[in-house]
Amino acid sequence: MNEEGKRELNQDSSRFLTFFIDDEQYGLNISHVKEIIASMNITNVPKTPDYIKGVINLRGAVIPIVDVRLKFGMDERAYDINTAIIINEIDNVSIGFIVDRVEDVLSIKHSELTEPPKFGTNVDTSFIESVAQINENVVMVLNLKKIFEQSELVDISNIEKSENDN
Amino acid sequence: MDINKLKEIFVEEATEIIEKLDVDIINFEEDPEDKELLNELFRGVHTLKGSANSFGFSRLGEFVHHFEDALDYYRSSDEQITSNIIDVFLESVDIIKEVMEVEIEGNPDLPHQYNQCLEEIKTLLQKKDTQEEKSSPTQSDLDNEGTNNTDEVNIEHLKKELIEDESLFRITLNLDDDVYFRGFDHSKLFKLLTKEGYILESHWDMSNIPDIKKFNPETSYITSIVIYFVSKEDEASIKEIFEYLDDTEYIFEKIYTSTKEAPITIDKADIKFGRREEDKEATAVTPKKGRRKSDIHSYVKIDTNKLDELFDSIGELVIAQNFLAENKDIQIMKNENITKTINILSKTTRLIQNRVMSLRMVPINDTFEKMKRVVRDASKKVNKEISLVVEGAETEIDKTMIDSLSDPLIHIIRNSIDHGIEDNTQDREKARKSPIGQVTLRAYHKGGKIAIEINDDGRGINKDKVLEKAKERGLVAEGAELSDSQIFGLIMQPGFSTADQISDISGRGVGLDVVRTSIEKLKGKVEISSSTGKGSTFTILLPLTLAIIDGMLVKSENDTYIIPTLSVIESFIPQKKIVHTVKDKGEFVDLRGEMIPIVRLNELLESSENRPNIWESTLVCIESENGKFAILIDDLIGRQQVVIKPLGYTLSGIKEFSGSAVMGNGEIALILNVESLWGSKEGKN
Repeated sequence: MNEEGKRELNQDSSRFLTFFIDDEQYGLNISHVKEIIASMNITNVPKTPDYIKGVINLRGAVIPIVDVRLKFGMDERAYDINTAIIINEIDNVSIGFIVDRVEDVLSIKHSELTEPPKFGTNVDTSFIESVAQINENVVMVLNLKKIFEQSELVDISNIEKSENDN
Repeated sequence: MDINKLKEIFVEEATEIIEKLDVDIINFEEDPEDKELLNELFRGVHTLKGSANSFGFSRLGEFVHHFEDALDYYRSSDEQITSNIIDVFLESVDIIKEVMEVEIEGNPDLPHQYNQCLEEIKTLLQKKDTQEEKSSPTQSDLDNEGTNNTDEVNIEHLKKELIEDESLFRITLNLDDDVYFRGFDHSKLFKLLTKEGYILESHWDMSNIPDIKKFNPETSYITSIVIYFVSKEDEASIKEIFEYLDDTEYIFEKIYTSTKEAPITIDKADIKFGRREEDKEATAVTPKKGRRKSDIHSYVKIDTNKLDELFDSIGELVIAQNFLAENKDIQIMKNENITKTINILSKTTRLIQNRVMSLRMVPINDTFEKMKRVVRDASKKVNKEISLVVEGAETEIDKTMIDSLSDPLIHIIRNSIDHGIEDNTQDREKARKSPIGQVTLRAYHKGGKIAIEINDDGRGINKDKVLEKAKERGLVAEGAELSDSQIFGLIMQPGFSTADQISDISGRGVGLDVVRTSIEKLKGKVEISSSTGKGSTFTILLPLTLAIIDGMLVKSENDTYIIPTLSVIESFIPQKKIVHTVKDKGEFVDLRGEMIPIVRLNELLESSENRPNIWESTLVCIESENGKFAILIDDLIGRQQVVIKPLGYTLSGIKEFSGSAVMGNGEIALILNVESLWGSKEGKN
């Protein structure tokens, strides 16, 4: 692909890290993903909501961990070999998401992203920013900012400021 | 590099110079003989002038220029520098500070006393013009260089260099020209000499050295050398150095032994405002020696963030090394080489960790030096003669703490001078005390902590007056029973001031409250003790470093928590008979007659609703702001030094925890915030 083509691709598509919870595939904008680590020992922090599983020590940094299943109102599941922690970073604040299984990185054209349908299920859909049909799968793209905000995990005003700066 | 970056560097350097000016001036007042200090002052001011002008800070440049002239005059003249001149100097430094700020802000106004102070400096210089005509030029000290015969004046001059127990020796060498064959070497001799003491002067007779064409490298042409040598050693041990030489080749004379002793006795005439420093532990190394050339180190400035990063990485290294050392698979292998390597690794890691830790540590001396000025100013302002005694200034303390320590110290010192020391000398004499008030600053290590004591020999804190005032202000309930330390603690409450008249220095009731909060921010605490008529002592207890705390590891509901050892009084498994349940008030333990409330940690943290029997659990007795209480836990794990990590914005809202810590095995444990544990319990009831 020549330079021109690359730029074109960058402009009308974004790259997403996709993962599975149960049979549903979700996507996170890769620009906020710092790294993916295997499940590790999590220190429980009392007096926090259930979905905050605690904190981990990632090379000296203390990072809070959110179980996405619990955050989405699904049942807790025992961690297995596929369980992974995705470390996201917004405005120098890092948060880890526990997911069932990490899939791969997809390039999705902006034109392929559509408004999320109103689910009639018990899953909280307010975190879903958009939906894309990739081959036979539906990928639900998560709005990281909303998850952070609703979890009261970060000072949202700071994030907005930093996004305006960009 | 852009101009702003340069400016930043300038500001930083200039601030450093200015701070040092203050200290140097005060030190100079203490020891007016020390012209080297004046020279240092002059050099500092000179540098400042140069860089100020190159940044277009013309007002700063102008002022500093005149100040420099004044200093230049005094450093080259023999004129006595009076207390008044010192005042002008100090005032000038204040103006320099203000002008500096004004220049940085780009504010067109001049500081309040700029012109007045400039005039004062100019007056000093005018005096110089009239005096210069009268005084004859002084003889330079270095005139004697190159001459073999030194006159008595020169020896007198050398004697001045001596300090306690040192002797001045004159060594006259008359060497034969074959000395090289007997293992003699000029440079070796000098090296050996400097091991025993130091050389003040040496005079070499170079007249016999022939033309290069005739020069024979095996012949010693320098045959006559006179050395003035200072040492604390006795003659016999110095003479050993000359064993290669014939007895006729050298003359060894002891000229003078210094009887100058460490200034322990207070000579009243010597003491003026805020003078006299006595550092007991440092008497072996006198200040004069500290400035000798051989002692000059070179330094590298490092961004503290970089140090922190390094520190984090070392923490990880320690954890990884622990993992290797405790790994079962490796242990099973029983391979001697691997075991050895792991041992070396662990030793080296510890070593690096200690080194990195020590990088953050700086002597408290600089902060103490700054306090001299504070004492001088405060004592002049309230017109009380004060002598400041400094002890343990070499005690090292975490760099990050040093910066936030100045203000609390200033507050306490001012408070001691204003309220502590008696208002007039008659009162002091009546109490059989020296008319000069004494304030002592002392730093030392105390059980893994650093203690900084500010002691005054004044009238002490009037407990009744404090209690009365506190009740008046509603800080204490009527009829409340308080221990002595609790009463003294009241003076650090917000809105408390016992001074009958509000003075310029203290008395607004904000000072000591600020002290307490800023020390608590450093994870330390302030203790006050006082005895009526004898004086008061404020003791600031600080952790050795902010990066590591000494923690008590405890278990509650399978989670590990850390209680800072600083707050722990004791831990014990209580007997059934000393545990009491008071209806509607909760559970208490009777500890040697004192009823201490019990806080169940698992209930407080809402981690479970188990209610184990208190006499089957462990209680950790805690000393907090709100009084003593006991935390009920399942088990004690032990005591450990842990690396502190902030919990970050996300979880910092939970007031029960003050942070988290990475333990030796790499896992995280939460640090309990003891101050809010007891407070939150009260809130619930």
